[in-house]
Amino acid sequence: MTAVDVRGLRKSFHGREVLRGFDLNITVGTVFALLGRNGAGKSTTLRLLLGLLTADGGEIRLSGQQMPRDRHSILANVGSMIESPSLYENLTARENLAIDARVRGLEARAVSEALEIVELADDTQPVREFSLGMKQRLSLALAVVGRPSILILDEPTNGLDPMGIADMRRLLRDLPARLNTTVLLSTHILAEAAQVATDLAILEAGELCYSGSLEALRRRQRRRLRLVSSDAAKLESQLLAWNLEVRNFCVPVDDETSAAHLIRRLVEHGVPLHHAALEEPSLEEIYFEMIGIAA
Amino acid sequence: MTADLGVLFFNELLKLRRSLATLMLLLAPLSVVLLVVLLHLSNPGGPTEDRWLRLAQTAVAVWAYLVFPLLVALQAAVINGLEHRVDGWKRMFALPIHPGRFFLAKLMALMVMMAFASFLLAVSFYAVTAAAHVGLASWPAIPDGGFTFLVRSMLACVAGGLFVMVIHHTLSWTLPSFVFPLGIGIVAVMAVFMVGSSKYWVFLPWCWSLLATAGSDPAIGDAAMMLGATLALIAAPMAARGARRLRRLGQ
Repeated sequence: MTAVDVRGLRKSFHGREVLRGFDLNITVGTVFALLGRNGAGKSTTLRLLLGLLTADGGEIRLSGQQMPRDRHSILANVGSMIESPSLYENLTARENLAIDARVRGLEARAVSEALEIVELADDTQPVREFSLGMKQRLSLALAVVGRPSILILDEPTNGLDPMGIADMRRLLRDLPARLNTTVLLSTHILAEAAQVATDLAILEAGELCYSGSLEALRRRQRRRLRLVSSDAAKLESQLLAWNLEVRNFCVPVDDETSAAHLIRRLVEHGVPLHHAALEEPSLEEIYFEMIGIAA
Repeated sequence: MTADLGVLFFNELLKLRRSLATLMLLLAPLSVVLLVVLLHLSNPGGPTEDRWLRLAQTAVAVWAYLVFPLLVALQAAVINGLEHRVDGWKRMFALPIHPGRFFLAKLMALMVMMAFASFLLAVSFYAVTAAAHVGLASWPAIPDGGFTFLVRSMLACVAGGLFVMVIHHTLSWTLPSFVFPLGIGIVAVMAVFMVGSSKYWVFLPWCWSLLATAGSDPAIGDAAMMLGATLALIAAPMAARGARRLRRLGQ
């Protein structure tokens, strides 16, 4: 089942194309990370999904309904947190939540539940006295109040200290199971996507470089064989002679068999090998390679 | 799922809890009462019923000419400033409600608050002068129909000022800065001083709350009230329909 379905999404600001027509498909019950550098188009995408902006082209469907045509019925089942917390600082956490809960036609119980989910104390302290971490939790509580079927979170750990980041990531990981919801979050932090998400999309300069599961992304990248020789020049010339792609004495290989085959050939050609190791590319390397390809 | 306007209206009132708007709502009418009391103390003029009426007319005039329009500008700026300050617009517009309903709810809050402040002026002026008359022999007695005069004047002031409320609310909804809407309010009050007594009063909406309370020519008073209320009824839904576009314009 599809929670979010985007086709050919385009958006320009003052003649500058920010989104260049991409497709995105998010399965129900996943934590989906939209990964990209600052200015890649992540926030614009999320704002378009929420109907806060109007697309220049393409089609957006959330839970099968079309945005902006079915805006009200879509937003009734979507919770969101866009960039910095938008909280009324003169009010308490409960009062802030009550405002959104009443608009959504929810009872006071939903407010208590939201506070419980984000582990925020229900006291009389006004929000202006909250730490940034508490404000971010309250923002998340605003998003989850009423158990929406889709949660859209823009950079949810932005500005938090390491402890706050760890807490927020734990909360995000637990949300789909606790609330039976689909989470779409944007981030420019790769480690965050790796820790929290089950699926991800990489957005670069308004185009999608990758969309799918984290595991599939890891599998898509070939492993590499790191070689160490006492005669580095001979090793390099031999590898280049076989037209192999060499970077820092690393050669991409498909599997253990092809690695063993390459080592054997090098030894047969008199290249003195001291060390050979098969390495998995890190997610960071995969990401940069993806961006490089797109650029 | 569509929250009715009543829910949104009470939400707007909740948002103003512990804010400057609530304090101003109490201070503005009470400061007018204090000013008129001080005026009487500096120049007592005798304890006649006529004297009370003149004091009441002074209070109404100071309110309708000066304090009411400035308070409208300030309250509209505070009500909308709550959203501008924390970019609450994105939170509001991501809820399953048409932005126009938020616009109308905020306008309703402004109107009710201004009506409350005006009524507070009537009640507090009446109470203070009644207490003073009991305690001090130099204070004038309240004539028959004194309270009715105050309440009718305040109703007329609010009705005449409804269109100005729509104007200030639209300005403050659109523009993130406090300065421009408040500046407009101050300039308009100064313009009332020049235009209010001329035949061109009809073209300056800020005159209408003052002229609606003017007892000297009931026809002008009625016309000012009708203009304020009718144009507000026409303009408010139009502005609400373009609420989202107005917000984009101000960005």
